[in-house]
Amino acid sequence: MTEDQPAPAVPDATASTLLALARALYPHPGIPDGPYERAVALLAADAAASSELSALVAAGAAEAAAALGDPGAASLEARTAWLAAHEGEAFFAFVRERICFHLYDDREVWQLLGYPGPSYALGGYLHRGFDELPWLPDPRVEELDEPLVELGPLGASAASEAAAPAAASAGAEVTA
Amino acid sequence: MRHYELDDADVAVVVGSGPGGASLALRLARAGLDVVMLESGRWIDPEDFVDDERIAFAQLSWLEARRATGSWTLAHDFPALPAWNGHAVGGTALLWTGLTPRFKDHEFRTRSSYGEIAGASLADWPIDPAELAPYYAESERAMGVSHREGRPPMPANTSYRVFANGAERVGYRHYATGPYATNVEPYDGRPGTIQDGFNSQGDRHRSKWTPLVSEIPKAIATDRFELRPESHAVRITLDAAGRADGVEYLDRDGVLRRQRAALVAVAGNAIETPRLLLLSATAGHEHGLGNASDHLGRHYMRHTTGVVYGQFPDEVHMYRGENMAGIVADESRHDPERGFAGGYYLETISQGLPSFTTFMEPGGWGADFTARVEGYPRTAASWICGEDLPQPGNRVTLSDELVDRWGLPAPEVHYDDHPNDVAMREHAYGRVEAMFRAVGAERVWRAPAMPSGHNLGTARMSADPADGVVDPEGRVHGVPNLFVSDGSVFTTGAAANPTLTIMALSLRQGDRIVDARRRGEL
Ligand SMILES: Cc1cc2nc3c(=O)[nH]c(=O)nc-3n(C[C@H](O)[C@H](O)[C@H](O)COP(=O)(O)OP(=O)(O)OC[C@H]3O[C@@H](n4cnc5c(N)ncnc54)[C@H](O)[C@@H]3O)c2cc1C
Repeated sequence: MTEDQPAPAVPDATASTLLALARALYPHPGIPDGPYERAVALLAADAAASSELSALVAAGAAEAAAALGDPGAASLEARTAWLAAHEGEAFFAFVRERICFHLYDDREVWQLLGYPGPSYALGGYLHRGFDELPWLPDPRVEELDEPLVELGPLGASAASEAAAPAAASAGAEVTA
Repeated sequence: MRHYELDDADVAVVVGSGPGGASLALRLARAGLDVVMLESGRWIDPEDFVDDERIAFAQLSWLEARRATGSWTLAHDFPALPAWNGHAVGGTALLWTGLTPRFKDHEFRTRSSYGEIAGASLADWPIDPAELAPYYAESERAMGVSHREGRPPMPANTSYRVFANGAERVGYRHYATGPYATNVEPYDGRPGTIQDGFNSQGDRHRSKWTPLVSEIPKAIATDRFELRPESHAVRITLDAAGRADGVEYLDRDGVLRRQRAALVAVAGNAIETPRLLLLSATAGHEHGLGNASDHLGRHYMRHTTGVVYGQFPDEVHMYRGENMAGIVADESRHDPERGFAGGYYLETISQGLPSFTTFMEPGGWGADFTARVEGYPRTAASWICGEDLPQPGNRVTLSDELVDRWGLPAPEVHYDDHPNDVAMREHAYGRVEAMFRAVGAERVWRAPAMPSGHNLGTARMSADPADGVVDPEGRVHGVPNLFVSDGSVFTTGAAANPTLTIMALSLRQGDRIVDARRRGEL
């Protein structure tokens, strides 16, 4: 959350392993190490709250380091493969969730990804483009002055559209 | 503010300051009853709201121990957070966005309209929709809902522009930016929205209707009302004749107090309300108040839901403007030809980057995930809000293991999807994908439910005490001066977002209580 570096709560070797894993969990080539380091430090602080979590993180990082050699020098593919192989485990679950949580709460990351954050002090977007979308026509905003079909099928035009190709199964993703 | 003594036995005690409890309390106070409101959460001034998703979540949400079990995705994705509820004066309305469709008439009669569906405990509501119509209109006025009675429509923000054009291109006709309970223009002493995009963080600007900026200050102004924040109700007590005579609560210092009462209304939302009734078990009500028929806590509903995201070649900036000011109603009809009973709405939803990365693929990681994160500025999203079927096994129970900060058994929320819910969600996912593709989406994907904002059905309304927990006025079967005043009473859930109906039922209940009081019955 803050740009200040929190006090390190894990040894340097653990931190650098976690940094290498964080960059593989959420790889953004355009984001420098700073935000990832901050996310790792915050994760370490979260883990420090409980001896069980501290032990989990220390052991998981040591296992990763042992498997990857120097994790900082290991390829993205190697780190990703190691993570994938450990996806069901408690260490993975904790690290993934905490890195996701902290990395995307970092102001530098917001700026790099195009999320401006609070807008109230700037007057919101009322006069700053809340309605600016040049690539589509202006849609109606009022409700249609025509009764809604409440029981049974829609009228002809929409019904034929509704019968259009069925979607892929739940959870699947479709690329147009 | 007025103060009442703990042993003042002539007050109406209302538990919970959300839309249900606050609307009832104001109604009663204006009619001259004396009202004490117990609210578990703190008072937070709107100027202390924080336009930051993470900070506001921690500030406003109910974060006590809970557990989700069952086949719903929440048991896997967010096992400790089955629901997203508010925990402050104003209730979950501090988080709500403000779409306010009404129920359709046939949605009050689902057993008759849909017929028997295996596994579902469908039932007709024991009330006449026509009787609710004036209360709907009054609720819309109280909230200052857009598009109604000459109030202007919400203007189109960027998300709506994508959504509505997509709807139009797939042949839908009933799309609009509301009805939406946020001021477009100044109304009721509150300003118009500045489209800052932080509805669910409380709304510093006070354009969004919540009880915190409307019913509660109005009730205080009657001088017939005392609000006690940080007062967590733990038990409703009964007298020898079986009437509610008080509410025990823990104050901010953890001291147990008891407010005596002439009548009690519970509006803690559909997880906390049945929990309080279960915790109040006593001689003659061994399984909880209103639970002689074993319906208390059952038939839990949360709407069939999910989110579809679309990424476009051009920018959208979904974070700009009102977070949910867009709705498509064409699929809210009941049309069994689609392969399921009941209907659904499609609604715009916008998220800041922290929420987007939490919900767009819970548990997701890797290069494919980050590619979508990098597309955030080019992303639009739609939330599905459909009728889920009540099932007796979907229920809130008291945990044997977990306790909350007050040392009380925590609620466990069990939910299995009904095949009808699955079929409806599948259909809805496909329709949003079609809408987004129709306006040029390069990529669309489906996400599962977020912790439930809509929680319903756990103290269901029935004419016959054998079929439910409360009568058609929301009065607990078997305890003549105990009422439930929130979405727990919903016999079935309808497709509509619930809050307008919760308020309409509370206002109607308030009138019934005032009448009964005049007749000397309460
Ligand atoms: C993100 C989000 C968006 C939403 N958007 C919409 C929308 O667009 N349209 C819509 O219709 N609905 C929406 N909702 C749902 C809406 O917020 C709820 O339907 C509404 O707030 C329910 O009102 P209620 O009074 O029944 O309960 P709540 O608002 O939940 O209020 C219950 C209150 O009771 C208090 N309480 C609980 N237990 C106790 C106890 N034991 N003692 C004392 N106090 C207690 C709680 O702290 C809380 O303040 C949304 C919800 C969320 C989370």
